[in-house]
Amino acid sequence: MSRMSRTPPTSPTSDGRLNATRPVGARLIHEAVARQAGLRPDATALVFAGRRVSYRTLDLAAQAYAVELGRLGVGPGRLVPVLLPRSPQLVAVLLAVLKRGAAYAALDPKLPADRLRTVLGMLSPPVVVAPSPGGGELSLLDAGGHAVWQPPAEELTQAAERAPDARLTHWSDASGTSDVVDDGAAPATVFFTSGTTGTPKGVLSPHRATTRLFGPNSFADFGPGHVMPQAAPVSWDALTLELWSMLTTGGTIVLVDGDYFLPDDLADLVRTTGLDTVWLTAALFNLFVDEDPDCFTGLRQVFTGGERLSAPHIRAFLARHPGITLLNGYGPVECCVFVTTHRIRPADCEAEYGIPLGTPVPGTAVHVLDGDREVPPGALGEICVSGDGLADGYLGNERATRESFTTFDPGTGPRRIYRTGDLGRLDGDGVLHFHGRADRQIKISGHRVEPAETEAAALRLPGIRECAVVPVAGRSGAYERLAMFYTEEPLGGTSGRSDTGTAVVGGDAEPDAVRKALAAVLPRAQVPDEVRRIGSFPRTPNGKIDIAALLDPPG
Amino acid sequence: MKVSEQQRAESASVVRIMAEVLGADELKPSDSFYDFGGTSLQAVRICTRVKRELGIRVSPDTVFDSETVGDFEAAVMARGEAV
Repeated sequence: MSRMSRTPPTSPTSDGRLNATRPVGARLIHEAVARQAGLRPDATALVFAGRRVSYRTLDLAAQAYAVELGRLGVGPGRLVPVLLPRSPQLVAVLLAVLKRGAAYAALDPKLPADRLRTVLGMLSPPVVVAPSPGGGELSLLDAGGHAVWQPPAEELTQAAERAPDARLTHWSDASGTSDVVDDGAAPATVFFTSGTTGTPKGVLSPHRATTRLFGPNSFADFGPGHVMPQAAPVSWDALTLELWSMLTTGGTIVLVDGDYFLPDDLADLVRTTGLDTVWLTAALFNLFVDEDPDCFTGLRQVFTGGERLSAPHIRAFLARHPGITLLNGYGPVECCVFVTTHRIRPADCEAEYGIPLGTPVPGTAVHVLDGDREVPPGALGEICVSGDGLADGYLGNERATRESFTTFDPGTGPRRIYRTGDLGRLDGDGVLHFHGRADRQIKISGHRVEPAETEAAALRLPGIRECAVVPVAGRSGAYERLAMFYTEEPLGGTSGRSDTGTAVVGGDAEPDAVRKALAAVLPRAQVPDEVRRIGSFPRTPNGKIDIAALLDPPG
Repeated sequence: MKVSEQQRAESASVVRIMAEVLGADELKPSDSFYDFGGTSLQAVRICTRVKRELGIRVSPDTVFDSETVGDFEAAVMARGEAV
């Protein structure tokens, strides 16, 4: 069974004309932002540390940076890593990369050095955008042989003064905008996610994957008068939702200062900036509801998702805030932010298989398949997705791309689909329901975690013979921690594996040293919270590691 | 004397909050946050409760940067004096 979005964004009206409310040519992210700058130049685009940045200033600063990036070889088809901390300058540089016709990868400046090198190698960038001196990573980047551009430490108003065309009247190469890219199919974003082999996967997505989300038939209200925070780590794909939802529609983004977002911060921003919309991963949503359920007061829309929602928390929220629209958003990074959304009602908390995932967002269709065959309504199958949200694939990994992105013919001709690996069911009303993962990938606190990647890294450490990484669920039923169990190489035995773990010495793989060695090579979410050395692994009758016995040993 | 008593009560509150969030029966000053799970969400929860109960704002980074429960407690108290 397939489910199309209810109103395709290009649907003609009954007399055959195109819907007049549809903005023309908003297929490119930076064009949509520039259009807002033209319409309402003095409106607030960004708020950061109590200061406001207008659309005019943002767009002019982006033009100035685009000219500078152009000189450094940034052009159509290139991929540009940006290691700037959350700031107005980060947003202007991302826009500048897009204006050049290139795609950006916003990276966590605190990535472990090994991981950063791997990621930069995958991007083969013309230039790496890094913070001004004092930022820390410079020598490393130099060692990697990549050119580094550090935009000056300045206010965007200063950058805007360097813009080649301050009148905002036309768009040409002279204004820093590449005229080569004029199609929503052009690559715009790269997000890195954990891969099963120990190497991260770079997901490359086109402009239209983003712009499809925020048109006139969007799943929520964006635009003038709406204010949303950018609070998630900038390397997460939530960045697409948190930035471009508002900046392509004329709304306002509040850039949260610092790495963490607490309930108190939310309440403060509602009071001081008129914040009315927020995205919180399910884990963070639960925490906010537990610790300070009144912190949501004053909001109009709350989006949550990323993993299975907790019915008790949803119920508590709805009882306290019946006037706030609460949406469950579902979508892997390969489908750009959301595939489906669901406006949650109290009755949904009683559903047997949890809160529904909902109906497709614009330009998106869901197919529930058993192999290559569509299952009847109500039957269980793999959730597959087609439409404008799909990524182009994984950078430099054709095999993984071929495995996950295949074709399916719903009867109207073959279309490209992404196989999510999630199990689901479409009910009689076309609402999608979630039934778990088909493979081992899980989410912890909103981070996508591949236990196999942590295992692969552990097995590269000297002294470790065998290991198993297991997610541990907390009281809410959601995964909260990663536990790793391992056995040692027999004494005196040399493993012959490469010695990436200098913290592990003398062949004795102490749990603490193992954990430290893993923390040096893996992103924090992939590092096991608990590391335990065991004599041998309990096994199931067919020889597999007995996970249940590991977590809850008999006796 | 009154100030030090208040400080002692606040110190005890910090340790109690950590024990509650980490699900530990008892925490010693020499215990490490990482030995009891030590996730970023737990750090956020600890800081939220410290702010609510004691009115002292600390970043979850302070939890991660503290080697022991005692170090974190000292960091919170230092922040409280500065406010």
